[in-house]
Amino acid sequence: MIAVLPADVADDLLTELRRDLEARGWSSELSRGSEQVVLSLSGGGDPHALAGVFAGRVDADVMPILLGREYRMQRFRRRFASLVVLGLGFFFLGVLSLPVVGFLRPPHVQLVASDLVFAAPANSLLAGGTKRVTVHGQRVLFVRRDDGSAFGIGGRCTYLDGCLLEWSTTRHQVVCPCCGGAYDAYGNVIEGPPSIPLRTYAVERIGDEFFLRSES
Amino acid sequence: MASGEQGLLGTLGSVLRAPVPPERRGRLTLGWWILLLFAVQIVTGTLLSFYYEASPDMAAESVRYIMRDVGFGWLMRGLHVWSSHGMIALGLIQMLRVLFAGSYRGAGAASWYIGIALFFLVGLFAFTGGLLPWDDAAHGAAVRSLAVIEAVPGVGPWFATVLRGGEQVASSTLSRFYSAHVLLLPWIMFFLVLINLWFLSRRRSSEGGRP
Repeated sequence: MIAVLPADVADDLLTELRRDLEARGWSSELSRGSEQVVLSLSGGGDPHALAGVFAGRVDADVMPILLGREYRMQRFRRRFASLVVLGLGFFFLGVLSLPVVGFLRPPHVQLVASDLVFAAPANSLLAGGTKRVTVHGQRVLFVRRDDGSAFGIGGRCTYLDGCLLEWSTTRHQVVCPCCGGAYDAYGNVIEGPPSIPLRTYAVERIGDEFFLRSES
Repeated sequence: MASGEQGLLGTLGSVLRAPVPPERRGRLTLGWWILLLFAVQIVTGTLLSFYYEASPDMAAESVRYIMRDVGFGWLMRGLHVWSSHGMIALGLIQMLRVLFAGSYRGAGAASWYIGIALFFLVGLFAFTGGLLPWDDAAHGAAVRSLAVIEAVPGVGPWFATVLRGGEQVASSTLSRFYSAHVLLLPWIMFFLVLINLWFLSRRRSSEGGRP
């Protein structure tokens, strides 16, 4: 084992340390340099107890002396472990970058302005059911009729309050819960204070999904 | 060397290289997990912005496009959404941990106040980002949230009008929220995080590596 100490360690401290080491079964050879002091230790003492000899008295590095073969093996193990970790790191980096590369590749389908806005899946809205949809910033009431067909109509009352409209399954009318106004499925005012009809939206079924056409 | 003399890179380096006592390792990693989630947010948010279009006509459609047609779009959007939830949850846990451990006192006071500001900022990120899909849920949530702000006496109506860009949640609202989400808030957060790391570095150097 060797212990590397700072160059400015005092002589009497060194003497004391060497005496303590000898008491623990370690004989030491002193080598003083300009930048450090090296104690070469040999003997049958407990290597784990060595650090305790220097602790609190001097800042020392205690290291084993390896034979050439042991040193080469240790160096090989360290380099091999570093290579494995580096390789794993690159591998995971590559795996993580795959979704990013896939994301950045332009899709086959281009995003184009569409006047079709998704309303609801065909199997999720039962007859008589309604759903509020926003079509280009406008609130639209999407209604599924009893016969399975559907229509879209402006979702806000045209009277002063502008309340959200509801579909009455008993009256089969679009009603305003605030002013009591009522509209038919074509947006015409049937009763109540509103005087302006509602805008309607054409519905298209594509596969199992309903879409609203923004231009009525 | 005092951290004030190190500069930006030196401060970051000293924070990263600082030795951590074994008994404190678990508690100290929480902040770094939040920072990691923030990095995920930045990366995924930047990627999503390649396809997202912040206009009332195209916002919802572009989100659907990302989810259905863009390769791994569902993954990027999912990571973005769930890492934001994670930031809020971990941020809350971190605040509670600091509160109950009493670390907000003394030298930790500056980091505590910055932490509060950062947590508030994360909430703002979630608030502004929530409107961007521009679907019914997003629209309704924004309307309700802004109604709550508007109900605050005094500055509430004015503040809500400024946030909305008008009297109703409309295209101006979407523009403002998008700009805040991708430009204003990230820069504020970036500088607050840097300042927080600097305070952390200064505390460690003054307390001998014990935050």
